[in-house]
Amino acid sequence: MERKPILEMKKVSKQFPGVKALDQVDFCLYPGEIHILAGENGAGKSTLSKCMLGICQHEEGVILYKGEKVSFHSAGEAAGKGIVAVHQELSMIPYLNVSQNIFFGREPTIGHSGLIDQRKMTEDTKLILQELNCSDIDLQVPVKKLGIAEQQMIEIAKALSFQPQILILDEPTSSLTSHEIQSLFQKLRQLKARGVAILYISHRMEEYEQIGDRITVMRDGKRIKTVKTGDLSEKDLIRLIVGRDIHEFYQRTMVPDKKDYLRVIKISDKKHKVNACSMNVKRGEIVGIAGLMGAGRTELARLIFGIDKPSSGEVYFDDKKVTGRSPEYMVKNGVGFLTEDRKRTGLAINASIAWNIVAAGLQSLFPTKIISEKKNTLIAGKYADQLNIATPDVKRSVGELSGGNQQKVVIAKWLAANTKLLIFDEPTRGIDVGAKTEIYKWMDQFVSEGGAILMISSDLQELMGMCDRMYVMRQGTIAGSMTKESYSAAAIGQMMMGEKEI
Amino acid sequence: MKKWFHQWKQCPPAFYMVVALSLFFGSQIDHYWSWSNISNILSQSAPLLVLACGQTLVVLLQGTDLSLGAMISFQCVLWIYLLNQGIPLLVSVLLIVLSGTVMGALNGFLVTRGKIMIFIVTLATQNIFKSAALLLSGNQTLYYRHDIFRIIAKEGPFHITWSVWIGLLCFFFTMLLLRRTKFGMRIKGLGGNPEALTFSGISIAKYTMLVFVYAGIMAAVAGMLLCCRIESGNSNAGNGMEFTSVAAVLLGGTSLREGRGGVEGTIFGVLLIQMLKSGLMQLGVSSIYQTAIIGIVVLLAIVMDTLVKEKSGDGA
Repeated sequence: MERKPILEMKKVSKQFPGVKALDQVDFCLYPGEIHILAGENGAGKSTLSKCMLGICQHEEGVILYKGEKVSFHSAGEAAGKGIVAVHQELSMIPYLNVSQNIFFGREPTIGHSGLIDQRKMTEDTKLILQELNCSDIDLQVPVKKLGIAEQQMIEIAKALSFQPQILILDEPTSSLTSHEIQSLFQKLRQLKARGVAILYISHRMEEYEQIGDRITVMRDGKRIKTVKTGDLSEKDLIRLIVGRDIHEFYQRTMVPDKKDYLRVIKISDKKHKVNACSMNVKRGEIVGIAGLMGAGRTELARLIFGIDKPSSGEVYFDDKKVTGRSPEYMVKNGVGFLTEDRKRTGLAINASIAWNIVAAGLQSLFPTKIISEKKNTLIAGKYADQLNIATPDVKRSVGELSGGNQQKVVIAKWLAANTKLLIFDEPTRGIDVGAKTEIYKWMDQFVSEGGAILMISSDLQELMGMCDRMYVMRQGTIAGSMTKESYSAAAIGQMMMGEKEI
Repeated sequence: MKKWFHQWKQCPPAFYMVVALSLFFGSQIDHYWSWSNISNILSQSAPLLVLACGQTLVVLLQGTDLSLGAMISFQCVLWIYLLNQGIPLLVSVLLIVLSGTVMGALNGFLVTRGKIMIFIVTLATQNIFKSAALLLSGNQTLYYRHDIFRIIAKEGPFHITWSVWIGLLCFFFTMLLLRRTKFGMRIKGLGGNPEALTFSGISIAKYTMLVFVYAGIMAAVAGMLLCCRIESGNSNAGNGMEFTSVAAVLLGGTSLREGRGGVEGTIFGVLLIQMLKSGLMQLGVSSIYQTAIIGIVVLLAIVMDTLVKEKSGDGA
């Protein structure tokens, strides 16, 4: 390409406590290209975009924008210069309406009165939404009353209203339907034709070839490679992203039992987020639940574990019907629940590692009901060794550990509670590659020793690699199931979306 | 039409209770609907209304300013003290507003710079302001004679006292501020999703600070209105008003989460509390029970609101 890059990064580094989020990254973005940023969670994709936007400041290296050295101090400053982002976390304000959200921070006023020109805002908003083919959104209600997909479209509309020259999209399609994705892509192609540079961060490989011109792969804060889309096979791409062969990454030894260990029959909850779901799990099996955000996966897990009460449906455990489930009862009977938000619901973040490890198994570990500090440390030390938790002392606070090691502590907690069936919600979210492999290895070992795992994940590669069988959820129902032999990302994607073609 | 119906459904719990209460008291008390009685209730509501306007902003930030009651007491004492020192009326009014600004800024400073929870900061400053009021008054009631007190508290156009007009002015000003200005948008943003401000490059600290300053100024105005009513300065004058103002705001449907609500509902919360107080007194209910009854009504209204919201899928 002969054209000059609109944005150039030279040897940019950024240090966060404990991790090098960006390590000497060189990166170029040209006007009129859609540049895909691929990599695992924690690879540094979001940090890279935040440095461009001035939400984070880089410590080393330079960023050149239109040939000039820049260092923005706030996202507002970057937006003023034409660099705008649509973030993964929605930046909507729940009780403002659509136009108030789109123009938040730069509302037009009537003369110098200081009063907001609501009429102009509404009119401009209508125009923007028309361009995005979603003019049927109700402009008067607070955005909180709108669906996630609608909010996402408004978020995109907001970014476009800045007339950006660089548009950064961080997982924009995670909550959109395929129809909405297509109209988004159409819009992106229009922008591209107009010379806008688009940085597109996504985990969805099937989107790369559809929309991207070039792909940059990042891993552990480093830029690994930049290639044209189509120059690499999907397999090679995965290898680049993950950093090793997928075969050694996911290890599975299959020894499933004949009998059902857990059987769930037509379970529903009161709010209709889960509707007549049935499934079973055998000893020695890892069973996955795939689905989009909001498909009801976590809600189903909570019903099974007894946190929420179902309105109908039955749960059998070892062929015995279980009534009056509660988390206490389930833990006593060898069921554990690793929640998706380990900081909030999986760990007492300020307590010690040792305390966290024995927390769920107090009754069996200390039958006398008196907790001996010495025994506690001993037990915790044993599990810390077994799971390779990187800490000099189990008496340290769990909050000091990295994400991967924290997750190991949660696992140790359930092991110490003598768990036989684990419900594992997003096992590797926000965890680096090294710890991921260890956790996968441990999962395999756990089930080969007679345990069973029911695993929820948004990472399709992970599900396909680890699970012997998989259920796909859509809008609160089980849309389908498949066994390892018949896995394909396209088929699962179709089931999740509920459409014949994508 | 549809829009009006939509807004009707959004009415705060206090609105229905005000209607119900006025019917009940109207049937029980002679001359309840007389102009003098209504005017009296409105007059009594004025200081609380002004205070609750400021409190609404703090509640939108998911906090409660517990120092406002003590602030009112202090300003009440300070005003009489200043007038007794021979300071001209207009200057003294400006000084009171200034003192409200400073006290609000102190709260705001501790919250934004000290990074301390609003609840804790204002719990602490409440005691400081309280002491200041005691110190200044020498633990005595201060008096000063001036026609302005009587004029504001007892006279005014259309048989509505000036204090009510001032209260309404503050109310409409706050409403305009919240609905039609950038400041209002920022406050809803702060309560609803502070990250959105960061992403838009807007300073969270600045607007948090402004909210406390605004609450302080409203407390200063409320303090002077109260002073006009009681025609004296007393370090206990504003006792408990921090809680009644929070109750009025919550009754008005403003939520301690997500930046929901606004001052439109607060006015009904204020009316409800004041109507209960005066109505119960006229019915001869002992003041010992009054407080409990008000507490029960507050709980009832909020439970009602939560239930309705859950039913309509609005989230609690």
